[in-house]
Amino acid sequence: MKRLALFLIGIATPSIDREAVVGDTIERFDELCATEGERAAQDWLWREARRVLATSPQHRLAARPAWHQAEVQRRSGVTSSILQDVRYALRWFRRSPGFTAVAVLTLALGIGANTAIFAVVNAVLLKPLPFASADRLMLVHLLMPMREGGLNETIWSFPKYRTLIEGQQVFEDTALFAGRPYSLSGDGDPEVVQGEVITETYPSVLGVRPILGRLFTSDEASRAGATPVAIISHSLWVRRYGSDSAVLNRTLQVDGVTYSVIGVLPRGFTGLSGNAEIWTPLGVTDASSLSGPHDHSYSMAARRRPDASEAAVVSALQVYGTRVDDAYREGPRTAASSSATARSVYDSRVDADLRRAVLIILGAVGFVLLIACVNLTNLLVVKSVARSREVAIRVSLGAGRARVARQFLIESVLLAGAGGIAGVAVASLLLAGAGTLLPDSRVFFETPIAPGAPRIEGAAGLTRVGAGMIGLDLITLAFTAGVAILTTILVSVLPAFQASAVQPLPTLKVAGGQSTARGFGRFGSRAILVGAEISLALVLLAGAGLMLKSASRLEHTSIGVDPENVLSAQLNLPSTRYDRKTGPLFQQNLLERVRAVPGVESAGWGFCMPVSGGCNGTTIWFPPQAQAARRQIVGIAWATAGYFDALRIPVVEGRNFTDTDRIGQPKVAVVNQTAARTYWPGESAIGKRIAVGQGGFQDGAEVVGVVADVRYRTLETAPGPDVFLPLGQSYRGYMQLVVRTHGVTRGLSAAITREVRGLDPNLPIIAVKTMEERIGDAMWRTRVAAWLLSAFAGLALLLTAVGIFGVMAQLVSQRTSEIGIRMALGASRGDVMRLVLGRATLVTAIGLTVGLIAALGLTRVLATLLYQITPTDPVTLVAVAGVLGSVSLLACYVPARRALKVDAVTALRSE
Amino acid sequence: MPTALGEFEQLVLLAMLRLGPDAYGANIRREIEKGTGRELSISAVYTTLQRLEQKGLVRSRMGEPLPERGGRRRKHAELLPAGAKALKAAYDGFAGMAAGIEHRLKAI
Repeated sequence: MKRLALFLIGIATPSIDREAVVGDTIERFDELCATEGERAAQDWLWREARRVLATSPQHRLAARPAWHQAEVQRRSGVTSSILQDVRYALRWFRRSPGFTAVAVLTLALGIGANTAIFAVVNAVLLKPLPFASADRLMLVHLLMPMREGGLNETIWSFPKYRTLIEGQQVFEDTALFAGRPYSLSGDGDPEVVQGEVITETYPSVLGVRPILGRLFTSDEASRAGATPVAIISHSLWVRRYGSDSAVLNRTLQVDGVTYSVIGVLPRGFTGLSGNAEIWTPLGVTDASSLSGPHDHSYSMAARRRPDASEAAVVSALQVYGTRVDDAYREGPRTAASSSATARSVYDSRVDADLRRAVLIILGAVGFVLLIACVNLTNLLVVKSVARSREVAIRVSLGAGRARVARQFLIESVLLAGAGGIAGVAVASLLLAGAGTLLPDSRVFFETPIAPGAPRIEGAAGLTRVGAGMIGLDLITLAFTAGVAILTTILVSVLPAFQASAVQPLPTLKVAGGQSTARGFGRFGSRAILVGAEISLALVLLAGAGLMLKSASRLEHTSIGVDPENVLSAQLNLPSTRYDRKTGPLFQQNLLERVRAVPGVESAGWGFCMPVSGGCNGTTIWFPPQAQAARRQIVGIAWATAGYFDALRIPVVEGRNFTDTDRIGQPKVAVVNQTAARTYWPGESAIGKRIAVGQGGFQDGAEVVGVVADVRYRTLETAPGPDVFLPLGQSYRGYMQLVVRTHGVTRGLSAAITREVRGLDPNLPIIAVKTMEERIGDAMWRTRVAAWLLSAFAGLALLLTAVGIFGVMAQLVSQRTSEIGIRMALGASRGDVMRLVLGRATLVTAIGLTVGLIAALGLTRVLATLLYQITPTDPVTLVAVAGVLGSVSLLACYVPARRALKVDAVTALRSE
Repeated sequence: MPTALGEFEQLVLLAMLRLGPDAYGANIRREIEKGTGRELSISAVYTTLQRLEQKGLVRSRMGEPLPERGGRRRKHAELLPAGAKALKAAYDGFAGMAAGIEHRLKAI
């Protein structure tokens, strides 16, 4: 009872007087016991407790200023003792420079790689888009039934767009736009820039106002035959007009048509397609599209009203979409009818595959950091064991457990802080390196296409994330700080705990801090760390192995052409200057001039280049069968004989085009093998009649040749049926000049430019690329993913090997005397080897097993990025497990060999 | 002008004057209980000591741990010159007012 009263008195008293008050009470109680007996003393004590409790508020109030003062003093004491810890830690780092360097470097690599990849994630997925209230911007998609069933998100025709927005209630404003290349001539050199065809509402949807001049009127934008006017970007204004404000009176030749410049948009605005420098009104540039309901060419952007949620917009669009279906449906209404839907621009800023790829790589690099942390933890634990004697001395001199743990915590914080700062340096180096690989900051992450997915320009993800957006901004640095803090927590807990658990007496009794009391069996926590490291590394290696195998499969996929020494250039003959007579003449003349260039082996015109995302599609039917009977879609391209020669596409049956395949002669066509197999299974295609919906071939043509399949869409997409029409019988102004040389293609580009200038000085040459560059473009996503995952997996492997080596080496050096005794007592070298390697093998085996199970679960996220390989490919998993197992055992073997060299006498003497 | 003192403050200061350098919580209370004949709470003494200390009239210091107090230290209080002056002023005022009527006060 006395205790309870004292306890009550204690808690009722402010801390500053607690000791004195309780002491005084005890003194008085004992005094009363002696003079008046225990009973009276008890009574007094309870009276006293009641009184103290009653006056407690006054006492606390009176004591507050004094308590406050004392607290300030106490805290400054803590601060100075923390400073003392910091100084001690720095001294300790100086004494072990090797350890410090390894620790900081490990963290710098881990944190740096994470920061760099996060900078990419930030640019691709997080950074706000540079438009006014971009959160309300939505991309509206037309949903069209697909041949295979289901609905396909696609883009709009002008009439369907008008039908959709008629009386709509959910958007403040809507607009159409389509990105495309523009050939500029007139003032200055001819050049090709990216631009956008837009409706007049486009700038207001994106909330942009001109810095000079005006925007389009609705008349200019949506009436055929309006005066051609153009708006230019700040960059084009600076580059082409030297920021001259008199630009507004100037004219510009755009694709051969004279446009007046009426406005300049603010600096940095590049439109929704991300790299536009010129804008022209839809009604002028695409006059014929105004009345074409099936001319699906435009993406639709809209700003939703603040009171309309995204869900409300989507459900309203379902209703509006049925109006589009009613107005333009062919045949009876079916379940699969056209409709419309919308997504926020943030959801579609990159397509799902690219998003997934960057997140996977972020995950992978996170694993690397985790391994780095495990490694560092291991090092620190090893160090803290080595320092147990020092800790024991400190504890026996009166340092509290918390104080010792704090010392270790501060060391971890300092290491992680240094690692974080060095990590930022590593990240900026990595990004600078990536910058030199992608020197053009206007390089855009093109929308990669999932294997087999239909490509519709502009309908998949937006592609407006450019390499120029990647950098170390505040968000990225905040991420780095967060990672550094997390790292500190991860690496500090175990060593601090272990150090503070040191028992001073047994530790100090053993000379030199070496204890033979514990055998090899006891490396508990470190065994778990090493096992975890092996598991993490295995998951990474499995991912990298799968990506590498996928990339090599892709690399070895034949696209059907011989890509070496081939160059191609797009030449678009504007219809204003070239007609059906002069166009073919120009094409023929240029071909002859190019063929005469030294080193040129063959040259031809082709409409479509391999792995360029696919070209035109049209319907095919087989006369005398009528067109409407059955709709089949076929790829269509125009070509001359030299196209197949230059790309070395073999003619497997029949003949190639010839110069006699001209207008006036019987119409002929060439098909690919897939088409021949699909349409005439078991028969020869030669001599069969086909008709296609484009190029004036509706009345039929004879198949005269079959060529090998070419992958036109992507590397991953298997070829479909294709039909080629002879350019001589079906003129196209927009063609690719394809040239094969005997040797390297260097210098050829200049020669071609010279020949083109010789014929037409105002004709821009677009997209001059070697075939190998095209394949590189088509492979970049797989290559980059494979390369990054391999780099991280390699780093993980290295870190793991270092970690295992470190633990084993330390273990062996701690057990030197034990090994010496065993050898002195007659243990063979094999016994010692087994002793050292036995546990390590077990840990490796457990780590590999856990890692394999985790890999089976985790590699599934890679599925959509892989080509012709399953995420659980057993060969890859077994191979990486083998590699990791060997590396792990090798890392154990080196210290184990050192154990064999232990001299029994020396070892025993040291005891 | 010396600090004005409350009644209990005067009692605590008087007790300290009686005890000299040995004054601490428990014996200050005992002195007051003896002198006034009333039982009082220890926290009343400490509350007043806190106030006097903040007014700059006394100074406190912790003593050595004592086994008879369960290893707890005493909080010693020392009367500062300002405290002594304030106490004298209070006493002078009281004595001045009481001068000549002591017999009547005793008779009440």
